[in-house]
Amino acid sequence: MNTRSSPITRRHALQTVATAALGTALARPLAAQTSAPAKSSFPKPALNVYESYAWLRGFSVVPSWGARIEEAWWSYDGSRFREEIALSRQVHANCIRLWIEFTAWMADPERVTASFLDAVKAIAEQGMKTMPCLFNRWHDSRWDYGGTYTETLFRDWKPQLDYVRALVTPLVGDDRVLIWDLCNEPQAHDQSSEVNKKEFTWLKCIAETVRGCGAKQPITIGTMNGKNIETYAPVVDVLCAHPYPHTRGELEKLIIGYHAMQAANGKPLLVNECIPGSLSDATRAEVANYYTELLSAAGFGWMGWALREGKAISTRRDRYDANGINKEGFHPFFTKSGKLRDGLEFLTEIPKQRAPWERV
Amino acid sequence: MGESLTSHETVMSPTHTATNIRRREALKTGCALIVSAAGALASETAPKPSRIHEYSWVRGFNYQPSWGSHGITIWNDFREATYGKELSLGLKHFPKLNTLRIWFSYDAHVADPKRFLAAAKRASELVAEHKLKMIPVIFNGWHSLVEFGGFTREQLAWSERNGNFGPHRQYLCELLDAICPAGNLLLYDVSNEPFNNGGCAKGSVELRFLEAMAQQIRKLDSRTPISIGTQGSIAGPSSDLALIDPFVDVHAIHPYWTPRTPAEKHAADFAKLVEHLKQLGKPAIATECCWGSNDDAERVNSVRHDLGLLQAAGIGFLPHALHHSPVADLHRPVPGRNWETMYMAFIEPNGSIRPGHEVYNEFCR
Repeated sequence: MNTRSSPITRRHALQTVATAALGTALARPLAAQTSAPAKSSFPKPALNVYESYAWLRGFSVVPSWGARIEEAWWSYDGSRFREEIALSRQVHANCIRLWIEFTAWMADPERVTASFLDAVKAIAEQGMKTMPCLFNRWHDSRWDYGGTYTETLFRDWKPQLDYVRALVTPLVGDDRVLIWDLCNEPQAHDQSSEVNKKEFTWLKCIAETVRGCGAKQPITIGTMNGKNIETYAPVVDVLCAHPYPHTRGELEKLIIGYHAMQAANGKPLLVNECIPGSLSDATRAEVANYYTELLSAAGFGWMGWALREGKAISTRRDRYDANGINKEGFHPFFTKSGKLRDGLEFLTEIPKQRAPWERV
Repeated sequence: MGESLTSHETVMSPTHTATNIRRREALKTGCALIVSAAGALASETAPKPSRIHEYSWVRGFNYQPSWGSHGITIWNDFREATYGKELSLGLKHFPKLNTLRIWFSYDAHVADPKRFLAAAKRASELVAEHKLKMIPVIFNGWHSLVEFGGFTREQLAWSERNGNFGPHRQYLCELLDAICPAGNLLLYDVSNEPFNNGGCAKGSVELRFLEAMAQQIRKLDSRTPISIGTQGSIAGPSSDLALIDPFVDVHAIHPYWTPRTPAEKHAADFAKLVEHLKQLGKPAIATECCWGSNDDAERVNSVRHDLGLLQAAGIGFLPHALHHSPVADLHRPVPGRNWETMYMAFIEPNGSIRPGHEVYNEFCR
């Protein structure tokens, strides 16, 4: 989804490849690393803590009925939601990244909170865990899905913090939440500008609020690549990447860079968005094949964007984005009739690595 | 209302607005005209005659229907019967009502263009069927809690790179196509409060956007005047009115008296604004006024103050807003929302007039 940012992050990623070998050589045991950079007064995560996410397998979910994120929640339908996420079990998903946003919540806090909690319940009913994604900073230039904008960062954050508390507090010790993703694709790649500093401070404040609620699960932020990941590394427990290169070779190079960042920051890394889109089922399947293979093998796991065809940008053929092969960013794994797109049948095979809660 | 509309039709006849356009064009191409250079210079330096009273007959309201807090829910869940009922209530409680400022929604168009355009068309027809004029608000730069939706600086920057505001331009064209046939447009409001998030400076993306959209409107409809709803700041070259004066036909101001300012100070500032508007030589209208309060009596004071000043100055007005709504500032405090709120509606959820708010009618005589 990082259409606008990918050229920058990709360039940066290539720059960091040269340092990857050095980073790998300097890698320390994970247990020793995780204690080094943290200067937090909050206790460390104690629930759903993992050193590797090789088993992670899932999807970002934006319900099919909303072209905007507000509609997804204002028109929330528990039955339809259950039908839609059930599709993901055909391909052995173990986690759903559930997008929600303050602009949706503020209009009807009680109802949206109840719907959110119902969605977490629905995901658990399928044996999966939820990765709530609390804010969105990705915007398409034409068919914007909505979310948080730069201007919002310069306003009073208190209402947003109320929103965070409302969603997090009921789930602080709840095993059904795998990890909290504070924000999809924040834009800062450094802290050199006022806007970037503001975005960083805002997300740091959101992280403190989540931890202040007593959340026992780890925190990540849906960062993209390179400097974007490194900028937010101090805030998170688990690093996050959104790889979208178009060839196997480019992805392999990115993975080397991720290992280096993981080692340098002493934190695990997961991938909660990936795989460039395509209008061609065959092309999409070909790309998905090596993405799922390489990312699982690298220990980062994979969560595809996005589960099912719907009304949102990039989940429909008449509104694809530029984040795809031949700039055809059509991303769903399942069609609107609930059929797995042709060529993706390999995903129905039982994966070698199962989620920890599935191994028992 | 009949008398007002008669005077309105005189003021707003196609001939009149066409003259406006011609005058502007004449200034641009002055050297090619028969007018002598000396004569042209004299006309440019001479004080412009005041035209601020041309919309003095307007007695209106902003209107947000009662069912949605956001442009998407208002338009893409359009409820025709409720809309018609609330327009009728407006006329019942405020018999001299002749104009409504209607807030359309780019976001609703993005979400579902067909639903949005069908609703916009039907709303414009309903307003016309109630013999009311309409000021369509095409874009919005005001953001609040709860969010109504509108443009952001980020969004404009991307849109500018996409065919010179191509997505916004497409919405604009399709919206005008839907609402113009009703035949009741008083004037266009290109954007409500476009500088609320910055951009009140020459060369800003907001200004480029407003100018591009104003030009697009003129291409589509050269007869209906154009306005932009701003707070109406006048100090310096980067004031609201200085920046938008080159491409509006009517100055649409929002001269709110807020509790922070002593009434006398606001009245003095308002007098300066009126003098400035006279010098600009264009008509003026207050497309928003009457600051809100959760206290009914305090709100009535605010209404009296603002409408009194506007009536005395001969400037028509549209307070914010006609009917109770979930839109920000148009409802009483909601439990669970811990942010500051104020209430600006004139009609309560049950259809009754808000206590004391019949005071509006005193300024319609």
